[in-house]
Amino acid sequence: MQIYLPIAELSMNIFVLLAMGGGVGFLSGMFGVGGGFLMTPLLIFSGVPPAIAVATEANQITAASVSGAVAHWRRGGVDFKMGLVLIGGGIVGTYFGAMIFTYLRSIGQVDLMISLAYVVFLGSVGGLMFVESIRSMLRASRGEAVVVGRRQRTWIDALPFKMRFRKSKMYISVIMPVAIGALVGVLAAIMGVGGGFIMVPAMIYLLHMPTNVVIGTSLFQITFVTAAATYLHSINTQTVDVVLAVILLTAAVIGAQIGAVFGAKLKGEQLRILLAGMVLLVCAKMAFDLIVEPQELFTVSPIAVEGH
Amino acid sequence: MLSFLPARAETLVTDLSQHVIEITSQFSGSELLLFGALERFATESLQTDEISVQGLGYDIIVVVQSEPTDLVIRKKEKVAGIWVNNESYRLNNIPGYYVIGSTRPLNEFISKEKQIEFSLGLDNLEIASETGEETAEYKEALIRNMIEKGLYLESSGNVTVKDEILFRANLNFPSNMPVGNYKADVYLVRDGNVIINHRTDLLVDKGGFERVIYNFAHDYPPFYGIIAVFVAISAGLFSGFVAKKIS
Repeated sequence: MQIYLPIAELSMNIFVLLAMGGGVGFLSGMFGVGGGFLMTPLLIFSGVPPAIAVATEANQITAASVSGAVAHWRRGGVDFKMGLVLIGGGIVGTYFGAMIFTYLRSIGQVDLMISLAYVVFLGSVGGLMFVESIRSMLRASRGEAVVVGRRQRTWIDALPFKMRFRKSKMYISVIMPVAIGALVGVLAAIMGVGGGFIMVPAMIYLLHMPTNVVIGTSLFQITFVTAAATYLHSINTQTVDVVLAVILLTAAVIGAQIGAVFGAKLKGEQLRILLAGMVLLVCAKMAFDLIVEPQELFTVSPIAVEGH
Repeated sequence: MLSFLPARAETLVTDLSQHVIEITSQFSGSELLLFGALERFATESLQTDEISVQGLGYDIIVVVQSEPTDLVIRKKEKVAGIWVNNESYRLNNIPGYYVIGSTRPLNEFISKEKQIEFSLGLDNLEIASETGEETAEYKEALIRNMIEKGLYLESSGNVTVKDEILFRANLNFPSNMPVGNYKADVYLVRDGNVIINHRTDLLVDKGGFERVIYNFAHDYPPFYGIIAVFVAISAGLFSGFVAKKIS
């Protein structure tokens, strides 16, 4: 059955869309990730214009992260103060990301930017994750224990504008959280991802936040930042397709529940290797499409009207 | 308008099976029938049978196009090992949809000059841009692109004439057809001359829910954005609630 997507202005098979939403939802439930970095490329590969894929995914991720954020909040897993600092940075980042997005769209380079951003971020994050999980598997097989010591003081501790975060039991400068939030905001606006794959490692390794509040706080931030991205894309470029978002999120929610059950049965390292493999696969496909000579060198598009 | 009427009066009557195409959620393209008849009125000096003696064979050309719009065409070039959009041309007043059909291949019954005069066929589309070789390349690329998308089509033999009076043409519209006002022109050609032409209007518009969403997104972007966020948050919370109940 075909369904016409009013903003994307094309008709797609609803079962294909549901399968995509469900499949990505399954993987995101299994790996505990948002899934935006898989969904956006998948939409692009299946013919949705990249700009619409990105903006619509931002909208879908709001839905995907809000229920997780609430669940973590009930368990006391959200550091609201830290969350607000991250959101502050995130909104600024999103604003600039959306501006870059709008400008590049008007000069016909937005698709290129999306592809490049995916290749760079997925390539580096996927690569790091892959190497890291191989290492920890090797360590585990040799029977070595990970030595947890008192953490070293670094230049990050020397930054000014310190603030006390009671929930995370930290007294640190706000510069780093604001910067991390801003980077994630830019990514949300230009890549259609929640940015958890950047934020969670950054919170653990750069901010040294306690792990029990990391996921909840990042989901809390992602909810607001992707909401801001949705809003800004709606205003600037009218690229948010609500119909597409609703179809995808319906299937993704169900898929995520099933995925979570499967994920519980797999070991942490196995999960991370699988996830890293997938991230690298998407990255490779994106890179391949950039390098190989396209069959048609010319593209025709309506003149993108800036603002309105 | 174009008719220089011959001795005998003839009228072309044409119509479309639908005058409005509504793009709704189920829309996956549309099929329309363009049909018509050539009415002949014997002028007083002539007898009916005299007409049939004269041989009244004719050909029909059907052109359906959307109202002209401005498009950008971009050419990819290899820069630092990757393919990126480089040069771009702005093309003005280009139909977003152009389909031409006829009883026979155009060249068999109408001269090149006439084809150009009436802008018949993809080769004779007026593509306004700077002159020069680049334009020819871009024009060719535009047509190739639009054919690929199913938005441009040139074919012959798909207009059928019955008893030299009735004619019909099946028109197929793809799901990605642009919205707007369309015109369907029918040209009657005899002895290499366009005898009569007749225009029928067609409106393609998003219908129902789809139109509401599209117009809302373009007319009230801030409210659309807020509603999109609201829909996502309520859907997320609702699904979380349901998932909790089930598990």
